[in-house]
Amino acid sequence: MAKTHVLSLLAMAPVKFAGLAAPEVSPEVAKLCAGAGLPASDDVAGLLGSGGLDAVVIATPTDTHPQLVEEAAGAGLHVFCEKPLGLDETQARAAVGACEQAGVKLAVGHVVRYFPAYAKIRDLVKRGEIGSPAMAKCRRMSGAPGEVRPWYADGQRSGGVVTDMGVHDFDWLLWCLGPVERVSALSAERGPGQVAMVVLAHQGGAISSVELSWMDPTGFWTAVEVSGPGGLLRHDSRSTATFRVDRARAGAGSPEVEVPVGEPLSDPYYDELADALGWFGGGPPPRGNADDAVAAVALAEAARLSASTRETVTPGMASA
Amino acid sequence: MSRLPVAMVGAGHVHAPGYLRWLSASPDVDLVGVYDPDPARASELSRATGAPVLSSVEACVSLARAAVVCPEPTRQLALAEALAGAGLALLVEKPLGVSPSESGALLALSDKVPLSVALPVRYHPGATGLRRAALDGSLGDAVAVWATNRNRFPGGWFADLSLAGGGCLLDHVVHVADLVGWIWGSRWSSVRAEAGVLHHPDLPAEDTAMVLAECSNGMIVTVDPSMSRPDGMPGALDLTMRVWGDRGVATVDIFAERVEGFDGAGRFRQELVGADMDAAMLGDWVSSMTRDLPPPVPASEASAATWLAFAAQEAVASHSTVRPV
Repeated sequence: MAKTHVLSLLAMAPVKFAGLAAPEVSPEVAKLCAGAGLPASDDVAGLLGSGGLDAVVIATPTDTHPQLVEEAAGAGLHVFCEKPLGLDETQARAAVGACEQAGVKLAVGHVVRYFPAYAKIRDLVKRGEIGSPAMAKCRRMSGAPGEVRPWYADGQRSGGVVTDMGVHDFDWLLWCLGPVERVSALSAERGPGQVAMVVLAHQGGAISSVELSWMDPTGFWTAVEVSGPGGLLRHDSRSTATFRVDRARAGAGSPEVEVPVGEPLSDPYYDELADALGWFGGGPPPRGNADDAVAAVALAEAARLSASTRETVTPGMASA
Repeated sequence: MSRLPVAMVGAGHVHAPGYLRWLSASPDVDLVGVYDPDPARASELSRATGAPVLSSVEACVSLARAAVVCPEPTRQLALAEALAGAGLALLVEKPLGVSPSESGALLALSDKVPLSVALPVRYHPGATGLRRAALDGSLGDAVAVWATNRNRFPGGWFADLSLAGGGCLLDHVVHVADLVGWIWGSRWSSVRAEAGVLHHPDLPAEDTAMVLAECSNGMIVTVDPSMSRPDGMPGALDLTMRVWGDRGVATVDIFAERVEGFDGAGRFRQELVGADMDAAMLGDWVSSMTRDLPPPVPASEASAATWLAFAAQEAVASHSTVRPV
């Protein structure tokens, strides 16, 4: 996600992008920074302590999030952290606690709340257009990112497909259908490829499912559907794309981790970052808060536990 | 070859009219008549298809060598037992019984007479194509199957538990469960499920469900059998499967083949086209029974598929994982 956020920051007029530091900087991101005349190094502490900063954007591998959030908060900086906030609920809570203690704001990149179709469906559901929501199905597919960036294939670093991809849909489902009572999941791995299915029983009775894959040779796509006594709403990124390129070899063998690419008039990644930075500057808060981010991580943790034990799990109990 | 004398015994199931139309038109079948516990229904079907009305099971037994048993699910076992007692070959509507004990009783009948079960999706090109891809290695090892078999609420006896015997788990899990068993030869090793009466709050049994299951060969399978499609939605009935293999992914959409159109007022319409799987199933059954071949879809396989529905019902009630005894 570093490249995506670097491009947003370079385009965001009111923001002065001071520079980039990370334990590992990809050649592509280094080149982008060099082109803009910005420093890019592995000296994170140096950048955080350089003075003159208001906020920091964290877009590193997931296992580094808790430590980096803590360091940024310790330096008195507001933090935008890419999702997931941590690998488990304990880590995510610690990150929130560090920011609270330092008196800085924490925003997390739950960008699906900024994808127009997902936001519209949630609005329509909240307006009662389908009656009391009964069932939701979320699908999120791509090739294996671990083939391009090996850390994704290491469950200790990424949390696997359930945490890395699923946390998007868990956050959206919590936002749309409310808290979850029970989690049941199945998953399977083949090398860097993984698939998982997570079924959630929400308080009040609604049932949702999240279908996840890092084995899709057709590349990245998502779909969502919600139904109730009053009707059905759905969206599929494949049939609603306004632009696409079909390469001779999509998905597997892709030179980059597959991330939707925004255009100036339609870029959810830009919008979420602009909202967060605006909040840091005294504007209204973004669409999700830090507690929402913790809840999504907790749900992902419960789903991983359920997938490994093949038993049904109560979220929030996984860390106990 | 002489025509196979066939009776339809019990015609309350939604599939009965279609089966009866095929039987009445087939040159290989002598349709001796239709019996239903509700004489008015038998008369109505008789008017529609020309099949004579039969007034009792005994009348069916005296005229037919084989019977299609297609009543509401809770009426299935008694009719099948009476016919098997008289030695008729049977084609029984799915699911195989509405409870584990009824399923066992129907399975026991298959020791006495040739008993095939109406699981027509096996004959659909989407299913035969998947089976070929699974067997010829083009998918590699199958890892997971994500399936839906959804519909609108069909109305009628589905709202009457004394006739339906269950909700959407009983009605719609069995097709996908049978395809998985038929294609991969696997058994079920664990089942979890969530379900509720959520889309049609007045119904007596679940209309919304998700099933998670593991197979003996390590495959993981999920089925959504919900009656979640709104009334009037085009393409409300679906049967889809996404099969993740370590060398590729297969997608099946049994009702995908259609023509879409709009009239001058912008109203949408669609017509399903393509293969007639019911005709293929009935043709295979008639051909097999005429030649004294084994039943094409044996009760043992339908019993394994129906077990997944019973296990899911139990998992819903207990909020825990159900495993075969």
